[in-house]
Amino acid sequence: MNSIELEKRFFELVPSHPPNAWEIEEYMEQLGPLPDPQQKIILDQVPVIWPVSHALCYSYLSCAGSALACLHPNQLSQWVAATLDIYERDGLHEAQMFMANVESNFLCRIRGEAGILLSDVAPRLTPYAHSIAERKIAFATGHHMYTDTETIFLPHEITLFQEEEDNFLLYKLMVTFQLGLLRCNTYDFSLPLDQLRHNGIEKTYGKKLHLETILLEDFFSLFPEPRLGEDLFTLVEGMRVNAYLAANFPGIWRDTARLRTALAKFRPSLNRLTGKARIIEVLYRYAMTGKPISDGGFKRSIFDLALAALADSWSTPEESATRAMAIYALLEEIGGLYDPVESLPYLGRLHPAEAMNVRLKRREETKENFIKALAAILLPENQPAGQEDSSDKAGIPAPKISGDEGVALMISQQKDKEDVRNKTEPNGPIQFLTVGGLDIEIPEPLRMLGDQILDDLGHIPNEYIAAAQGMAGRAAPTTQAASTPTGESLVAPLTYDEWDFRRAGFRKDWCILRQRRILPVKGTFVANTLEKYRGLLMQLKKQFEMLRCQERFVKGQRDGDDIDLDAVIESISDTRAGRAASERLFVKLLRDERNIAVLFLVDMSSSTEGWVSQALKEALILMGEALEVLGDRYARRNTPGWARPSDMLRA
Amino acid sequence: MEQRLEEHLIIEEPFYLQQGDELAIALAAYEHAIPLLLKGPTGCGKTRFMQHLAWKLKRPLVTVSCHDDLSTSDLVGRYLIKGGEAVWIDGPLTLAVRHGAICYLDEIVEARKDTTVVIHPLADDRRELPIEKRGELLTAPPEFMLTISYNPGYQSVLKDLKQSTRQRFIALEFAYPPPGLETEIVQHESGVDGQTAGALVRLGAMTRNLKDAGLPEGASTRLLIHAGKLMQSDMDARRACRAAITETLTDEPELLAAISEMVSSLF
Repeated sequence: MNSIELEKRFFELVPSHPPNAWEIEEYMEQLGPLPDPQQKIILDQVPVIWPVSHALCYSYLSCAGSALACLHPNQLSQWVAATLDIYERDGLHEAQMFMANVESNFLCRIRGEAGILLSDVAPRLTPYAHSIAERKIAFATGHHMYTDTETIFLPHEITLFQEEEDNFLLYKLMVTFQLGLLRCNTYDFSLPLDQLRHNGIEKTYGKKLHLETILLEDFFSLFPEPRLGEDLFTLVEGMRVNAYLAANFPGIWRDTARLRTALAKFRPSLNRLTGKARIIEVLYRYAMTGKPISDGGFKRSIFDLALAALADSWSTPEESATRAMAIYALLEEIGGLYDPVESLPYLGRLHPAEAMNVRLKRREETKENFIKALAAILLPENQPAGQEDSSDKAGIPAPKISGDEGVALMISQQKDKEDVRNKTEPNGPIQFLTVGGLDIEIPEPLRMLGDQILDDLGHIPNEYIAAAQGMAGRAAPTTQAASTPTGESLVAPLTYDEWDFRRAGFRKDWCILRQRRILPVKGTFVANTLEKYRGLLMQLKKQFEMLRCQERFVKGQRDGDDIDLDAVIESISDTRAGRAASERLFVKLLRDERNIAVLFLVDMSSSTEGWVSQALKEALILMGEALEVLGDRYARRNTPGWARPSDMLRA
Repeated sequence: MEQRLEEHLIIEEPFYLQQGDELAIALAAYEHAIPLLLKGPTGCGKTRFMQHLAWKLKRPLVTVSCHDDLSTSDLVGRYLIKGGEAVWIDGPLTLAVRHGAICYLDEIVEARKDTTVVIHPLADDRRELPIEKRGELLTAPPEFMLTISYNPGYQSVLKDLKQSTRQRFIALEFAYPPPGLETEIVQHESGVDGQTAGALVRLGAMTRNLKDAGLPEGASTRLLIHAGKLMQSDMDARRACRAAITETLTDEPELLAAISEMVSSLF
């Protein structure tokens, strides 16, 4: 095909939103010299890309010719699907970069030589993380690995090992280790000042400490070299988590022993490190493999003393801090400034400030939900609709149940939850709620919220209960965004992936579901249709009635609720006449129940405008009327058009 | 007939570890002739508890696994033709009432709604069983006990237990046992060592955490015991868990993969 024929073919392929001819002229000229079969293969992918992004489609047309020099024609659709995935995840620029190098970006990967992507392992590891953390944990791409306690930030891709399975295993180890930090309460670090004074840190480093307890985000800054303090604490705490994983997840610890040894090869050479950095690196390698390095040109005595500090087991992050301080003091002997060493690939760095922010945010959300849920219980029942509280009228909300009448949450003293710390607080699950001396069963959602608060704070603050009482005194709590009669969204939009048959893959977050209140409108269309098709409707109803199931007795059964007298008489007659008697002597009551739901999905796009749309609406009314006869559940969903932003489902 | 009931008598003490005061409540209910309602997920020990209770009370236990075709006749009894004669055969409920046994209707919400006609008068202070076809009204002796069970977790609204039924019973809520107790149970029932039983219990807890994340139900204690038994037959731990737990819980490829990852982390 020459460029004019190619243009013509292109316009045939993109009937919706066609471009101007001059916009594609250049690309068609590039395709012109290619053999016809290649041109056809390239153009076949245009309908897949064009609806997603016109700019991406132009980039594709400029790259596709050269891509086919490396790709087998059958692989082109796969390459396009991978490009679209990247476009939807990372944007146009990244997708263009991907297309620019077919060999390293695509072919290596499908040959299993280029590692594994986070997006590929996430579906498998998300439920895995949920099962360990007992709540949803998200994954996101990060420049380095860490967790803020709600999200685990991981590398976009792991290519360290040749085998895909090994790269996956490293991802799994990273995730398990970060979850280990959560299970081991690393971010619950709270070091009493007395303990610090005992270790002499104030005296040694001249820090003036004013707080009663030191949180993790403040701990590192106590050291003259905060980064060395941080790395040491991370290392020591990492070894504690190692021990936890080895004891509680022996499978993964055993499976990754080989990988952890192999990872040592990717570490910086000891010869290039000096002073404190060299000792830290040696300790890192020890943490990875569990074996001390025999030679490396480092100060053996300091290393041995550091190992001695890590010899026995310990169970809290505060103890890790004590040991980190002890090793820090040992390293002081070496002198010189610390040149930070890259952390272990599965250990990453700690981000206590981010973890605290997330924790505070979660605490606030839990508090809000808890107050709403508790207020819903405390709200007096049987209050007549529209009857307002007298205190509301005065503008002063007063609780229906005053503090004197008593609202209390009874909490068990023990909690059967795996916990590597020895907590002394009475943080057992909430057992029941006492209101004015009466015990009330706590609904499961409120119980879970209460348990979350207990996990976080160790107790349910009185202010939470007082706030719930206040809310119960004012009005019923709103459990979702306020609904309005004007048709605004009732809840936040929900996005989800949609299958695209053309590319045989999912479009990321393609569908947006917004609930809108539909206001009733008055019209005569329904009545007119019913009148117009009265005869047909009667016919339909009659046919549908024949489908209706009823309870019915079936005679001549092998077993049943009652005896079939006719069959018994016949059987006795047969016996007396010397004939073989039937065994089917019972009547059975059959209660067939229909369990059918019908969903009509109606195309209301512009292509059906006119008589088709009219016929569709009339047919729906008639079908609805006929289905009422059967009592089957039915619903209608209308899709108004192709253009994505305006697509709407109407119930 | 007496001989048939003897078959339901439990001679040897069934292994059962109490989770709380459930046995004391059940014994008190029996003493006061109040029926029992057991709620709880599948495989958490409801049936075993009933066996233990029956053994303790030295009463026969008549268990009926309810299904959606189970009618009043199936419970009460029916006429059969034997040698040209119509012979009445007691159903399991009538049998239990007549002889002062314990009748355990498992998954009662699955049964047809017409069964409430016989359950209601038997479950309140009348303690009567009307046998309509014989024109007979049986009064339950003091030794008789009615127990029903259901799993609130996977019942649809259509199959929920009606208030008029549930308010005739004393309810006992069963959950999966706490880790220590569950480890002991798995160890005893399957014969595995304490460490393996502990790992199985951890796996069970991990799968139960996924209940709101796509898995309809986590691994029951029963499944953990099955896996332990396979391990006792010299089967590789990961293979045993896959056969007894992973494949049993779901068909979803992603969840299958995730549960496999849990197994390979623990074993």
